Amino acid sequence: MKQFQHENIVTNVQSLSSVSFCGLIDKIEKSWECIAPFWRLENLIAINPLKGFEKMPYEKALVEGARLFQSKGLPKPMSDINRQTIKWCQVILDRGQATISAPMMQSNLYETWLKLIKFDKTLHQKNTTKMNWLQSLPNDPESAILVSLIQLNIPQKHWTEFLTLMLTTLSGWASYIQYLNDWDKDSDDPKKLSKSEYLAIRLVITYLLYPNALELLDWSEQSKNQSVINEDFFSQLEEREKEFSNVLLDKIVKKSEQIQKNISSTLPEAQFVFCIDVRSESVRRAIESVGTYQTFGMAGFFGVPITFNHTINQETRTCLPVLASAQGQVHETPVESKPSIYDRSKNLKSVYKRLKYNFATPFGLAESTGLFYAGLMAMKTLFPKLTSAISQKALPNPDHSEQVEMSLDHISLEDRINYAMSALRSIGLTKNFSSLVVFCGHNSTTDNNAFASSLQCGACGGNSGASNAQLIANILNQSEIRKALKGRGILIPKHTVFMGACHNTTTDEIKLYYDTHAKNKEIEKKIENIKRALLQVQEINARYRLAFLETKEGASKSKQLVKNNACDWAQIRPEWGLAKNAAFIIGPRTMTEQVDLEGRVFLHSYDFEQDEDNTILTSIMTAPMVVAFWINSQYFFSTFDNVAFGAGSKITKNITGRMGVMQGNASDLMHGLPLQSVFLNNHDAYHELLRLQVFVVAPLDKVKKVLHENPAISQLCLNGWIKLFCLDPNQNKRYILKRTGGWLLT
Amino acid sequence: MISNIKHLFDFFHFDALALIMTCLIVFLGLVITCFSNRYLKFDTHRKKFFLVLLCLIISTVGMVSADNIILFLIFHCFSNLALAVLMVHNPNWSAARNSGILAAKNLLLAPLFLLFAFSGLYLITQTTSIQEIMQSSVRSPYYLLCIGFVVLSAMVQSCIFPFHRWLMSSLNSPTPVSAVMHAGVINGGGFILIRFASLYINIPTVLTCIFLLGLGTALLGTLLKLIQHDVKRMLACSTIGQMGFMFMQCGLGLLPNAVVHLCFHGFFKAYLFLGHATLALDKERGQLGSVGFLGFLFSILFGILGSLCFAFASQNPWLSSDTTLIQNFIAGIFCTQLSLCLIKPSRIMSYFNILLLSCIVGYVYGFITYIFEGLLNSSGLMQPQALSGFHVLGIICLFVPWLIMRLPKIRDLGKLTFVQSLYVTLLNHSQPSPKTITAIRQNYQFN
Repeated sequence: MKQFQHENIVTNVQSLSSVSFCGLIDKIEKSWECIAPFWRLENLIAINPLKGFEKMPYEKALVEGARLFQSKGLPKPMSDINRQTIKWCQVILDRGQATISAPMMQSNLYETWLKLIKFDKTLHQKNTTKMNWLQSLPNDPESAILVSLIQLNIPQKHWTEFLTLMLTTLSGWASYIQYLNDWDKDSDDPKKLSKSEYLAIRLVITYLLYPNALELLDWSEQSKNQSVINEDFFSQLEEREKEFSNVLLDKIVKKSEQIQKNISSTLPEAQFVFCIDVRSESVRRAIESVGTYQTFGMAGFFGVPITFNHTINQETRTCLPVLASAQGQVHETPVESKPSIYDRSKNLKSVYKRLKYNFATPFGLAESTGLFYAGLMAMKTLFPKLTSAISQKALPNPDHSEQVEMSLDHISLEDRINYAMSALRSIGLTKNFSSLVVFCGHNSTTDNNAFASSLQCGACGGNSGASNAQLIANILNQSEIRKALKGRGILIPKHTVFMGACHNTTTDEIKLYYDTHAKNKEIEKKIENIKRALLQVQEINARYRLAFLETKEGASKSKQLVKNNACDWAQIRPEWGLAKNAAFIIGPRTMTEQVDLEGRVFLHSYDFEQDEDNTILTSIMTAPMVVAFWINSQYFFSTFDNVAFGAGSKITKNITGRMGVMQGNASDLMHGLPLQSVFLNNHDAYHELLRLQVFVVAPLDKVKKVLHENPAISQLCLNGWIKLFCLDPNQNKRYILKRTGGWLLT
Repeated sequence: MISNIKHLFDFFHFDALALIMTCLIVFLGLVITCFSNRYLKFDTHRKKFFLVLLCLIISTVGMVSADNIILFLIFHCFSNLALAVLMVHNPNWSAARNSGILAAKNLLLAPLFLLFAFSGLYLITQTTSIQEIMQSSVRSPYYLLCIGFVVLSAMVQSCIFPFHRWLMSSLNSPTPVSAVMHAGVINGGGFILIRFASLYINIPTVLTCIFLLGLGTALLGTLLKLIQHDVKRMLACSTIGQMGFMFMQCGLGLLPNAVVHLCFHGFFKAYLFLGHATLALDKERGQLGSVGFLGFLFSILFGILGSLCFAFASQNPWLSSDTTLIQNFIAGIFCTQLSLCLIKPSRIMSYFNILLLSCIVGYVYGFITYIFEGLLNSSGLMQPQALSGFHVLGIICLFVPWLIMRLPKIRDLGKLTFVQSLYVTLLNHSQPSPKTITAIRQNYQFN
């Protein structure tokens, strides 16, 4: 029987020098370094689950990741500890699922938890020594961690290691805590469980249930020796990547030879700016094939880091990459729908919830609405499209791809000029404007899909990009902006009109947002032409994608089939999302035009000749490229081990606290992508394991300079997380960055 | 040959109840099969799933229409086992396997109890036909024991306290299986009670016992549901509460109302399970603002009027001295809450419109009940009992918690040690069985 010398320990804690206490705080911080953040379901942001190991060489990081996150055979008592942690995490981190939340769990979460567990017989088993120990625990989490570590007899030199293991043995919930503390922009959230608080909870539970937790260190030592990843893995990976890049380079080179033969100088009918998203690639190809249209690619927030405030449902969406911070707020009001319509659906939902989550009333609710639900269920299952059309009419929901009116007053003129300048310069669109320039954001519509936001625009923080597209178009249409741009060397012809648009990645429908009242015959005619072309594009791209989706191919019905996918509540895989992404090309579209890149490549337009001081290349390589790398690694690791880094199968998922997914009755918080997003079935992967290969079309010196000035980026490349190629157009040579730092001619 | 087939039909009995249940099963079976056809499209175990689902549907239809106690038992066993197999879906995932085993243990207890009951009834009446047993007037001292086993069997099947806990461990199953289970198989207990109603309908003590068991389960289930943090367990606890209510209705002698509840709650819950992702991520919280005393009075008034309409439509007296009063009360509290939500905070409708709506809802609700009463009339299933103290207790037990939820500073209750201790006890009570939790992430398996 272990001795509980709680009184001595507590006095010891108080008398401990502040130096050793500080040491603990550093160790707590350090233990969290291996944990990547995990966003809530409402805006799932792709991230490298091994983000904490990016400073290591790729191979070493994978081995380390395997040891910490993939090792099996944890000591048995860890099951009990995890179960208790899951139980209390569900309680503490709930965001509104439970009608009756835990008593007093509004602030001071750790303290409240300490009060509540005194009643938890499954924790202290009514053992008086344990109960006394709980009674004596200090209220500040750091001291509690200290007490627990000492009582567990963990040698001081192993504290960091032990704390790390406490996190990695339940990595999903820890990831969410990491997000809450370091990435959640809503800093006033009173329900923010701090890192120390989480560790304190975990350690107190561990001490109560597993006094010999020291064994965990032995387990960890043992798992170091049993390598999960076999040696062949890396060589095979290299081989596959080499094959992919060879094929890609072949395609591009063949293409660039053609360009030199016939360079046309006529202005395109319209210019489209798309998101870098891999799903844009096939659409751009389709658009270019139906007319003399020119397309560009840039990060889908179009350089406007803005928070949108929907004036009707009061929802705020932060539509920008997580690496950036919001610089302004814009109020948006839908053009077509009246506020009262939204109110109706909001009120009905709220009445329904109050009847359902209550005493005595749910019985009447089930009896009086049962027949209605029977009909609705049958309709939704048998006629999804019709049902969704009817319900959208009766109870519309804002889908964030509507045309909105927005006032730009909240953004200063200077900011607007900067946004306009940088948007146009970053893609090299500073001359030869055609009369219509369309900024096309993207969104995805799916029904009954917990992972819906993972299909949205990553550059817009897991939101639709429609508002950003409309905003940048509005800015560029302002006369004062045009005047200012003229002063800075960008002359936009008077007749050029900018327009927002939105590409629905599930249905391939492209909505154009324009002022129907404007009486400009010429533009009107052009718009009509484009609309017709876009219908064709939808047909082409829908058919192209359906082949990959393994849906029964009906050449004439492809448009209907994708529309079905978007509103079918039984559809488990409405679209493939960014699966199979593999490369990122930074360069002019002329190099890749009409080349079938199979929807696997991020495309960012870039013209090095307009980038003398390297600022554009720097910003592309430090922001969109990193986002693409995160997306790539999220797909990579979700495929690599869907249990450790993915969310598992959607058919058995359960949603906890309105924020995350668990498997079945209860489990670790399943971060990452679901099985159905990366696997064809339960056995065969659809996504191909390939690291992101970046191809920069620029003189080698420019690329070298960017790497030199941005050690974080060069570290990623040198550590092998990203493979960097430079296609030097001046010398007509291709280089690949070696892991040792030199450039190899290929 | 033909006579053989005719002979086969002797083992079945298609009365109104069997027909209603068959419609329910076939409808749900078709919708869920259609749903799963897309939902499980890329799943390796789909063939097995559809095969077992088909078996489940057939055997459940067999069970509700069987007129032979042996056949009934076989179908009952078969459909319960099929459900357990469906629940496991992926046998490599240990937590799912364990919840399947746990479910099978509980689900087989129901036919076992029924076996005891049937053996006794056979010995007493010397017939294997259920209809004949029902009509038999032979009484014996063991008769009550048989009824006890029937009720026990129904309790196990419908997760009535104290047999409710396994339901909270059943959520490792694929979503459509949960829908089948909560809309269909769990309702089997209600069906058993209704099918064998004539055994006990004239014994007030048995009815009161059923009522009290139902009342306790309804309260416990609702309370558990309100403290759940994940959507599927919340739905499971809600089912427990609803099953309790169905038992209450049986105990009141209002068996047609129980049939209404069985069917419509089945639809309701199947819908919620299939659409649980939308349900769980909906941004509308449905928090109730304060309506003031006057608003509260008005909503009570509208509720009373709604309940009057309900009584009028279901053709029962409103302030009756029998148990239909409780059904009127349920309709009334439902209409009151509806009015309460509409009155404030944004004054969505005018008072007159709310009144009108409340009356319409009450009327429609009553009308549905009336139709089912009519359908089942010939079976003599509508046997309202005289009101007793237990029934008044029931009304109070339903009303007081509802009233407490209206308290303006309900959060302050959390400061009471008693409330804290109760909360933790309930929280622990609603935890799934340890073996069915995937506590170690690496133990999760998708193939």
